[in-house]
Amino acid sequence: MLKLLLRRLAMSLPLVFAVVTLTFFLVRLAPGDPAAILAGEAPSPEFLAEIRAEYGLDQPQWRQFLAYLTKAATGDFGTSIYLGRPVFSVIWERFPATVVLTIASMVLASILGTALGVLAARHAGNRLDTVISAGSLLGYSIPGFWIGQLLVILFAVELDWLPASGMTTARVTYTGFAHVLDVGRHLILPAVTLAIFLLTMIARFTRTAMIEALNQDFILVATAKGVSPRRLLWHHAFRNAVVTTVTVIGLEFGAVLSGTVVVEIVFGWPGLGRVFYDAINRRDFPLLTGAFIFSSVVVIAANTVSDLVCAALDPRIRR
Amino acid sequence: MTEPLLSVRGLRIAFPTPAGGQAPVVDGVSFDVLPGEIVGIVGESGSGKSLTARAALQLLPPRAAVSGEIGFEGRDVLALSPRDIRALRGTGIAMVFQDPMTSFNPVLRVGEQIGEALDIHRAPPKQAREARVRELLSLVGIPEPERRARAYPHEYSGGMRQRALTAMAMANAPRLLIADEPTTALDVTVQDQILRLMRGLNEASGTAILLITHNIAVVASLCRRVIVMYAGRVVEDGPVEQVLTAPSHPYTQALLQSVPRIDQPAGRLTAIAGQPPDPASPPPGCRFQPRCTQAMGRCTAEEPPLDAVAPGHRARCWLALGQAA
Repeated sequence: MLKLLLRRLAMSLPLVFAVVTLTFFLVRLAPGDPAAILAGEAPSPEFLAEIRAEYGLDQPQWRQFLAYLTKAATGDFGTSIYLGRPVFSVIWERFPATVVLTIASMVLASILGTALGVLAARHAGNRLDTVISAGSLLGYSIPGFWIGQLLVILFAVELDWLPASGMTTARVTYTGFAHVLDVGRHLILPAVTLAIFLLTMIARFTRTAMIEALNQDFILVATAKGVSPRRLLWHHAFRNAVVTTVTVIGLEFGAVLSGTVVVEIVFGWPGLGRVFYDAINRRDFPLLTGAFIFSSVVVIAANTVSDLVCAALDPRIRR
Repeated sequence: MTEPLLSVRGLRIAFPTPAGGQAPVVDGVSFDVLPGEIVGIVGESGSGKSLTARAALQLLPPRAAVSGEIGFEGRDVLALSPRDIRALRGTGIAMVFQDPMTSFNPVLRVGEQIGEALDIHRAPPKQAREARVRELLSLVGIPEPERRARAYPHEYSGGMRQRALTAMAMANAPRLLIADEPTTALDVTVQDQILRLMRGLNEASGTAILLITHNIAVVASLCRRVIVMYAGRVVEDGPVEQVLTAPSHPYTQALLQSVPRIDQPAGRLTAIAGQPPDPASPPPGCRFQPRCTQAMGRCTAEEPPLDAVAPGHRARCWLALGQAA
């Protein structure tokens, strides 16, 4: 297990380097000039040159890259061009809101998706299975920003049960448990919106894995031993299928994280997604690069964790 | 005369056909297994032997239509409630399956899976259960049972898995062990070890064994009585010596002729010409008649009954019954 962890970490290092390199150049390949945006309307050429020199934008790109790498290695990801603050502290400040949103929707999607997948597999071919399978195909195909707005219209505007946007109620300061409750109320709609895609993925893959597991010989053998149907389903079949479920969760973590960009915009959630959005609009290269690298590292870490969990669940992967 | 342990009467198992009809894959099968006896069922693939065995534990898929009677210790197995059949599985009748590679759950330790068999029916304290698991593993000849109980199935060889599977089946000291092709997936030397193990268990614990196989040599080495099945029917049954040395049914004769022999010059293997019939539309008269080299007029007109050709020896053949004309 420790060996596997070390091997995965060793594999992650070149991956992170590749991500840094790719991100750095891709961001700069995009059209748009941060200096022009900073300088405002119709700046003098001298002023533009001054700004370029200040942020090192006048240097050749490979030189900029080397300078970036040297600093990044020490944990310095530069300064946001627009906000004028260190990139890392901007990201770190916004990260918790995204973590709360991501974790909430992943927990929701994992529990519901798994339950629906198992239920569909148990009733494979029946009406319940058809309903669940059709529903998950629908959920899989509906774009997040659209379902998010529909939820806002229904639950925030029409029914007025839940807040439409933000993370906390404006102009009121709650503390302690009341604060948690307040954030929780604001969390429901964005978390549900973000969860739908992952939920349907989990349900579909869990269903297939469960049907496969239930058709294995060892299920017949266990039945012949006198094992109860409930234990067959969970202890025998699900213990095999859960490896697939965990793999899907790990793989789709990246998709969920990129989904936060849209969901955070729709719901005014003050997380990393908004940082991305604003940094793109402002051509804030250092902030954008930093946010990309940070998210990539988080995704790589999540995949490593999911691999380790799979290995813990399936002895055949462990060697 | 002793009461039979297992008594199958008029068992019929049919599956729905795509055309909307019913295809009987097992049709009117009757036989007994006495306590402590080893009985073999032989037949080629599709003869219905495995389905017959599975019916004895209600292990058939729900779409199978099962009728007839399977008596076990005086109760009709087919009529048992889900709860009662679960209590019978593993304690009254236990089963060993064909493929030891896929019979264990790959993510659970072998000892855990054997222990589970104990837990379901007796729920012994942890220490007693672990001791019994070790005892069972050494009973089937697995060295270092303590270490082996903690291993996962993929860490076992094929022969060891079949041994462990047998240990799992024996966990609750069943009165009847149904072994469905227990040696088919194993190489020959390991086959022999498993057969010896089965005979040893039979002698030591008095567990009756119903051995299902397509391998007539396996029957010869282990069983006292043999039942020959063809196309869903019993075509011959009787004591092993009689059936194998003086087979009455042409199918049994052909089956024996297709076994390669070491004392005869090597040549082409003898095969039975033709294919077994489609269960949805069996041929008229005797089901073997289209492939039978000795078929005659009456065989296509009328199906022969399963009748005595010698004391304790029955065959379903007009010729053998002396009524061919």
